[in-house]
Amino acid sequence: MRTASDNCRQVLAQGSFSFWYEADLWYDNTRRAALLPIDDIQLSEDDSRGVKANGGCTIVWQDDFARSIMPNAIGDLFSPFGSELAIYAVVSAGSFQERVPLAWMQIVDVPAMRDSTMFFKGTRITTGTVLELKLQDRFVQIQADEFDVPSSPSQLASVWTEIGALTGMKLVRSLPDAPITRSVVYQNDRLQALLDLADLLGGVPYAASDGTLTMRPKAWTSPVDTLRAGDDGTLVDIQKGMSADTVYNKVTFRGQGNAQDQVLAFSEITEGPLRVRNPDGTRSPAHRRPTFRSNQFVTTSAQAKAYTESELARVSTLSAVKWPIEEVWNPLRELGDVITIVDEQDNSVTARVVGIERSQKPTQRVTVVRG
Amino acid sequence: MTQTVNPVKNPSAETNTAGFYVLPGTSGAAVLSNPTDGGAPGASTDYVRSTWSTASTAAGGGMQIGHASNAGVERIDLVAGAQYVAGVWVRASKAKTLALQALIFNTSATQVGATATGAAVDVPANTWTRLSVSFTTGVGGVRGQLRVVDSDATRWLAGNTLDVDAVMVWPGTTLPPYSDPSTNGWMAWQGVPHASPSVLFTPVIQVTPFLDENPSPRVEVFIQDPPPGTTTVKRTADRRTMTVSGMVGVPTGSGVTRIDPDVPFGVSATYTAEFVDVNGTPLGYVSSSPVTLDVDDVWISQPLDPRLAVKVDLTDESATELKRGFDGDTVYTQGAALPRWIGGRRRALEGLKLVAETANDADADMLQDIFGTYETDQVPVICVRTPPSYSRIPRTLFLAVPAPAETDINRRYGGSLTAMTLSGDEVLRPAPGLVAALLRYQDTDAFYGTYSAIDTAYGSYLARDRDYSKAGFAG
Repeated sequence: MRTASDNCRQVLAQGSFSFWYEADLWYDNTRRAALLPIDDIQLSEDDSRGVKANGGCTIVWQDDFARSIMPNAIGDLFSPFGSELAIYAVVSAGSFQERVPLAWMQIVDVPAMRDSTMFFKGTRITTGTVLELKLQDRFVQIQADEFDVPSSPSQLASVWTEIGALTGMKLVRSLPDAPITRSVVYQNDRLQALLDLADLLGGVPYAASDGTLTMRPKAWTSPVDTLRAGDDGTLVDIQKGMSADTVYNKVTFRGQGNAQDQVLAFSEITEGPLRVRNPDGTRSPAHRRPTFRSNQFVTTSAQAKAYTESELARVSTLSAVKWPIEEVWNPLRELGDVITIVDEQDNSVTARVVGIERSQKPTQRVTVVRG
Repeated sequence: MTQTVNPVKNPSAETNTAGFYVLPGTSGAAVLSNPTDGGAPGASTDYVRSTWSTASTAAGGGMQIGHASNAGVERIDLVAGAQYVAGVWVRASKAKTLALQALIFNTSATQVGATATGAAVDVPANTWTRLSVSFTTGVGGVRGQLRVVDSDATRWLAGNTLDVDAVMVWPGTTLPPYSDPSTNGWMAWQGVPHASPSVLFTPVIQVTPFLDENPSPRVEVFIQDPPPGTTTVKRTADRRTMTVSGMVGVPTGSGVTRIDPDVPFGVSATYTAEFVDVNGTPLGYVSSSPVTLDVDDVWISQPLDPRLAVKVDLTDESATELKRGFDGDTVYTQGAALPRWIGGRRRALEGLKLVAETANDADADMLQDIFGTYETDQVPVICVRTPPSYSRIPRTLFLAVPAPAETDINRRYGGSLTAMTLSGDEVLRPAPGLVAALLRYQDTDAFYGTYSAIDTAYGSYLARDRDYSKAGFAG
């Protein structure tokens, strides 16, 4: 959950309210335009992507002096070379108003732009400009910036410091720091190197709505919100399902140690309905469903065993099954939020948010995995 | 005149000590220096320090500001026969009793009248303290000189210092806190910074109504004595605030004059100017007194070109319903008996219908021209102004009319009435910074014929810019 005042939470949770989006244009750490006239905004967040947030919006601009704001050259306002939109959601109920920072997005593409013009006193003036913008969060720059040559960490004392060196972004050190367990060679992909480093802290890195780089824990927290049906609730629709596709009962680690020696480890479930075999060695109902892992920071068998144990706990539950949910629009919902869903039969399920899609509609689509 | 001048040309010694002189006192000797480690309140970092090398033996030592005969930066030019008050910040290295004196000279550098001496003040050691003196210049007194003098018995000793900063000579009897153009955006140097008099601008907004129909009832907004920079003017009337056409980020210069052709009728309108200095720092706001345009007609005009304006009658079919809707939807949550409203902000007037009757062909043509002709483009946004006695639509209404439809009333029977149906939504005014000027240079050029005749007729360019009686003379 994003932070907001208690009043804001109450407005969102109970009864009717109004909302709209606002956006400021930033370039080179300077705000170049405030309160842009935006329309048709879509924001989508997906935990399975490296660059988690993307979206789009339309700018409908009428200039005070009838100039065009259509970008023509690199460095112009709205040109897709480092121009950024800070997007806010305004929640309003009567005199109550609160502005919630929603996303800090790079303009990556301006697929369509048009001016409407007319002749005025012998010159052509622009009576309006419409720009369509495609947006992605700040990680898009990390993704594009591949390593020149295979390289290794500059130091091994701190994961956070290394992340700062790799990305150049401002950090909010939300998880305790740890040393890097061994010097490794970074492959091509800088974003993958970032994910590997974050793995050491048990975190998932993401670009926060203030433009900083921070992490949320992979481990589930206690629930931060409750989704409820009925007059008091905000749950509009939930599509439940069950699939064996991403549920495993065995995790195998295959990797290499410091001396290029093989490091192997596996963990498996031996009891309960997901057991890999019956106690007498015969075939079990679920049979073996292994999944394979490797990580260049894991160098000893003991580390590998610990790794497979923790992974097994994660993949052997129904948490890999996604449920699409429609809920009342809520700007505070974030990827990684652990929420309690209470259904029509008053059954509670704990679930974690892995996807959010917002637009100007009064509801938003949230995808959760259950715990 | 709403400009006030501080005639001290180097008031806070930010670049040098020009205009400051040692006054070592009887038998004393001292030298001036220009330290930069923090001046008096409101006067930047530099100040003037007098350091004694030989002690004085009588009272009357201190510092002198301004010269009776030297010209340029060193002279303080005053107006003869006027009331002034002077203020100087001082600091001494030991506790002293100090006073400020004012001496007035004529153009021959001969003193006029007696020396005015302000109250003696016990100045604590190493503490900035302000001294002041009130004086009148008398007949022929046009040059001023200020002296900081001691009157206690401790004398200036070798090694003692006296610091002086923030010298202000102000007309009248009230001495404001010290400020200069380097710290106060409302002030400007008349010439070279820190070497010329500084002017404090106190802008005044005059609003003059014009009720004639050339081209439509309007007001002139005139800003007198604006500070250097730009200004944006907004009109507050009819319970809302709008930017005035053509008054967005206008360079102030010696004054700003604009016509507001969108001013509403019959309601009180107040104009508020925001001033921004040359660096883009907002300085503040100044408001006009309210003005009401006593007009009982309905006018339709083109916001981008106020010369296109016509008086019409609105029929009874007009503005029968005023609808201002909301974006949004009701949402039923699962199992809920009552939905909740999740929406956006309230919209402006939508689907408003006005039927405008014109009295003759010329007016009907004008109403068509407002939307453009085969040769000229216009934005289909019109400005409709109605008197308060009319239906409760906004008194200044910008309406987007995508399909103006003209209908005949009685022309085919030999009459002259036509009507136009204007249906649309309320919108923002297009390009508020842009408006066709009513008065153009070619108008005064055509009226006077020669530039010398124009120069004779007007004392300043601003006066020429404000002579709206010549508007449209060139056709």
